[in-house]
Amino acid sequence: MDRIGQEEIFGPVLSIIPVADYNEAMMALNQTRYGLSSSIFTSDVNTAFRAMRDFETGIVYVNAGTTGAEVHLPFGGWKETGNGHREAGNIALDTYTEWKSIYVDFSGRLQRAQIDNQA
Amino acid sequence: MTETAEATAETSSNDVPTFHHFIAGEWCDSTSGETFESRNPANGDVIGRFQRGTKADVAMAVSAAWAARPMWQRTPAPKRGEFLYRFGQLMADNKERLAEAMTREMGKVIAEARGDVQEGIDIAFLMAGEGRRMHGDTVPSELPDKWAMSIRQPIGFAGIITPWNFPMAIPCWKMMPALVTGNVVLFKPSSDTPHCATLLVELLAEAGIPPGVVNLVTGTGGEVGDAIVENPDIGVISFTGSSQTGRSIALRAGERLKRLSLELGGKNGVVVLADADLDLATDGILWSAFGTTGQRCTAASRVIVERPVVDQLLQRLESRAKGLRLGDGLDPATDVGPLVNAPAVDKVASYIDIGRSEG
Repeated sequence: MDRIGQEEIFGPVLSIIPVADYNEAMMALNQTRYGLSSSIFTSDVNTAFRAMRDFETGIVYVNAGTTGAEVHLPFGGWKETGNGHREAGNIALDTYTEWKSIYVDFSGRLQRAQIDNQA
Repeated sequence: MTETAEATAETSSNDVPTFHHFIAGEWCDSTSGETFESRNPANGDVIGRFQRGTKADVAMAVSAAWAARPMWQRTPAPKRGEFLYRFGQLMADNKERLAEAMTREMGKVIAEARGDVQEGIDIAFLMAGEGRRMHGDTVPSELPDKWAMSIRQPIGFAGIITPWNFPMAIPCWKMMPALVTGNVVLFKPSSDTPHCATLLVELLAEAGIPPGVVNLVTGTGGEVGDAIVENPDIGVISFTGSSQTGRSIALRAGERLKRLSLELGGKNGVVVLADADLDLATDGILWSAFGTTGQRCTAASRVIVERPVVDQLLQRLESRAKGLRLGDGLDPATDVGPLVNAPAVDKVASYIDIGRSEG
């Protein structure tokens, strides 16, 4: 794909890509190394659900543009948009925390996991 | 009332205030003795002079944060959340002042600047609530008379490196979850929006967040950003910005096995099928492509259209795009504000040439 359709511009520049049908549109949409946001305008509910399944982005809009995230849902992208972490939503806590698993044995005797409870 | 950066900013004879780092609860100068300017992209006016931070400044901020870390971690999470509630309310009380300062510093139109501030308020309130949730798991053990559970604990110290395009929302997206989970913070904003960052930190201080918990060091990515990424005491880095810088941070953070959250480039597409409501699609495309002058990470830059409606859609887009009013974002009649700085103007112009040459 050419540079105008592949590289981030970060300015008010649009390229128009004509396609034959939904499948070609979906392939064109996914044919980028980034995967932040996408949108589809259609009046067919089945096609909308196909897009929700098929678009390789962290955010998908149906009958709305690519912007307008709300803070209580995860925000972030697939592929080279990021490294798998998400901001916003309660999943944002994952970035800043470690998990600690805690076991409290109140049997008063040695109990060996994976051994003493086997038949 | 806490002493503020505005109150402590020294104003020189030509009325340009000088702002400071915020370290250990004090507004202070850089060891460099140097400052840089932040300018209004709509008219070139100087908004203020900001400290050109150094590695030594980062080291001081790291010691201050490290000293505050045990106290902040032992503060119960619901109590940490209360500081966030107060901060969110202060943002709401100051929404118009913050929005105007944002438009002056980076150009987005005032209605969008208000939205940016609102996002900060929203995440502050959401994360304040996390102080009373922060769920772990309590699960049955496979052995009798044994209890099993998992809890979240803070990594400890977050380095927050943010861009200029959402100069209040993105720092809040990063700092609010970092703080409520019990991390201390060193915040390095983009050199295009140090004033927005200073205003936020001023409100964090006013909300009563204890000294050393949030520290602000302004300056370049090469000096301040690198010192943050390479500091062994800073366990988690959260960065939003260019793919190129993100890769360079990832290499260095990877070597040190740091937690790293990256939010980098996008090439967002809108699909318009033949059965779409074309007027609605036109509205959505214009808002996504030209809102914030196309400088959002979620901005649409590709429109993928089924052939039968290409001409109709183009016609609508052209006539509506021609009607957009360009200008100073503080004028409520402006639809599209300026690009953030001169290099951005050059970059966009070069892509228009690339697009033309590629047909």
